[in-house]
Amino acid sequence: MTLDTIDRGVALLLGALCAAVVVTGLGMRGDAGVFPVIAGTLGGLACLGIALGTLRRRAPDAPPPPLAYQRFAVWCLCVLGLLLLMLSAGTFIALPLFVLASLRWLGQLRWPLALTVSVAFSALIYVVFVYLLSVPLPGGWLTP
Amino acid sequence: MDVLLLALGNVLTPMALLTLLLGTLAGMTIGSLPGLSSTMGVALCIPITFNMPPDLALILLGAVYVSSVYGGSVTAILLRTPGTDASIATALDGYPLAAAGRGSEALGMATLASLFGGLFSVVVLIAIAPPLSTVALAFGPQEYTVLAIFGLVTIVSVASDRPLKGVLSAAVGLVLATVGLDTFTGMQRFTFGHSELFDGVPLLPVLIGLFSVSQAFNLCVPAGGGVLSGTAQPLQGRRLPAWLDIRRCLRTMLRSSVIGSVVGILPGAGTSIASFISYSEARRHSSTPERFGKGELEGVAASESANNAVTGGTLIPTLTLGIPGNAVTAVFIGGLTIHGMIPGPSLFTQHAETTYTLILSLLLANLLFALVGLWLCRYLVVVTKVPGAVLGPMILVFSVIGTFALRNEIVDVWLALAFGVVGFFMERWRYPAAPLVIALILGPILEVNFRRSMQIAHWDLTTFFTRPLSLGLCLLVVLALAYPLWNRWRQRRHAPT
Repeated sequence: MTLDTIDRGVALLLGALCAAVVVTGLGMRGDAGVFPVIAGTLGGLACLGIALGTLRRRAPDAPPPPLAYQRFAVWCLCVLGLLLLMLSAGTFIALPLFVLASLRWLGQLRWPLALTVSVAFSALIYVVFVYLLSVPLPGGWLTP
Repeated sequence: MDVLLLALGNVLTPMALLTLLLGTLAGMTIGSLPGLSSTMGVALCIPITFNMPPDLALILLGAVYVSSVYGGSVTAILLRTPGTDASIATALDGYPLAAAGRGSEALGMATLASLFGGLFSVVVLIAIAPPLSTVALAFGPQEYTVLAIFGLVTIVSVASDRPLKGVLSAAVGLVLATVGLDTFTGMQRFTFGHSELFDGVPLLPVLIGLFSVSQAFNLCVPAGGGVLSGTAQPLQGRRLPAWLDIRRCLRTMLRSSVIGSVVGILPGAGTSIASFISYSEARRHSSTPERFGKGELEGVAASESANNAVTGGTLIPTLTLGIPGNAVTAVFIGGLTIHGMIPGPSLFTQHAETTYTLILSLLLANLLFALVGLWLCRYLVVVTKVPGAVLGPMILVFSVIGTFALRNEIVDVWLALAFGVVGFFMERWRYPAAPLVIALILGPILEVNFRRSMQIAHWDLTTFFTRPLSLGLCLLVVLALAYPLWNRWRQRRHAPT
């Protein structure tokens, strides 16, 4: 997909959103809608400018580098897993597992090194955030 | 003079120096971690100061404040994960330098520029604090409105070579800034009934998402990704910037320090505006403006000297009038009152010795973080050699935990992750993220002051041109808009056909 096509899609999507903001702003009580209308109009005009710019005859922009879909999907799943596991099992079960999975699957580190790094990094997080800063991170299964 | 000597004696005691060192190290660490802001650093230290003598307490708070602003530049340069919004402009040129293997040089320049800006603002604080604070009081809603517009125009013009994409990014930021309860009418705007959004879209999760989480994606997703670009030799640059480069940047540092100090005095204006205005001015005055954004040491110097000059500037209205310039100084006022010192003119009369101890300790804190920073930069830069797939998960974990630590709300973490994905695609599709964040910061300032001005002037827009200060700022806005257009027209005219 060329950058021009992407720009057109972004302009269409955000243009519609900006129009919705303007319409909503116009229906607001008192002067509460003034600023949303101004911001939405500004966004709408920028979208129009971008869309018109893609129709102009000029040298095409260099396309964005290809996206490694498989790695992107694995990474997104890891991140999602981290959050869900943090909430259910607890931060200090989720963190080492997330770091270990990322280092092993994406970083291709050997098991012993990946394991050492993940445990050491989780310990650092514990010391900084729990011990020094007293942040009440989700405890999960480790909470009595 | 006697008071200054007494204060100097207080600062040079072994206990004070140790407190200063610990405060500086803590501030540098806090500033460099995503999610941990200067405000949080100072707030976290206040309970520690309860049982300390006032002198030592203020030395600790001052050291944490100034060094945390500097600390943000380290990760902004090496990893493109600015710890605070003050360092966003630093990342524009710092990260390309690090990617080219010149991270140590960039860190060195950031350290020297921060030192310059910090020392300049402290000297301003000592010399002309009271008269300057009265200038700040002359700023009304009209002036703040135009200043916010000036900040937005500046940011859009420097953040991207495609201004329309910058405008769209800023417009999205402005729309996001309207989310929440309207402070004037109490009406819910774009909250969709979610109580989490009543206070608006929180800034730090958005900042962390767009810069830190997206950078974790950038490092992890491409196979063999990393900070250093493919052509860069690891650490090919100098360990510290060359004297020639430092001399070349001196004028920029001076200009940026003046801008930083002046912007710092204005309550609510913030470090990010100062950084971006200084960055824009440095580019405007440079003989090679095309190198900005691609790894120009002058860009790092401009941003860093400005954001550190803000630290002294914000303390001017705080100490002389009791008006906090930003959130950090508001917390600072809390620290002062705990120790029985009421901010205002009495600080320079009744508590002069302690006040000057604080001011001198800021001087020493600046020197100390510069020494530590210059020594550390050769070691810190090694982080750019770590493979992206190893750095990425660690940046993400720090971002997630740092975001959660802000308010202990898991919603903030989801927000940061969502903006992380948005930021990842924004970078791929060449939409600058900086205008969005800055618009989110400036949006409330702009809206509140615009509506106040309109209520005062009964919707007469000429009110912005009838006050001298406001008119001057309007002219600056026109200049900031016209200069790039004029420059482009001139380049086209001189381009070979």
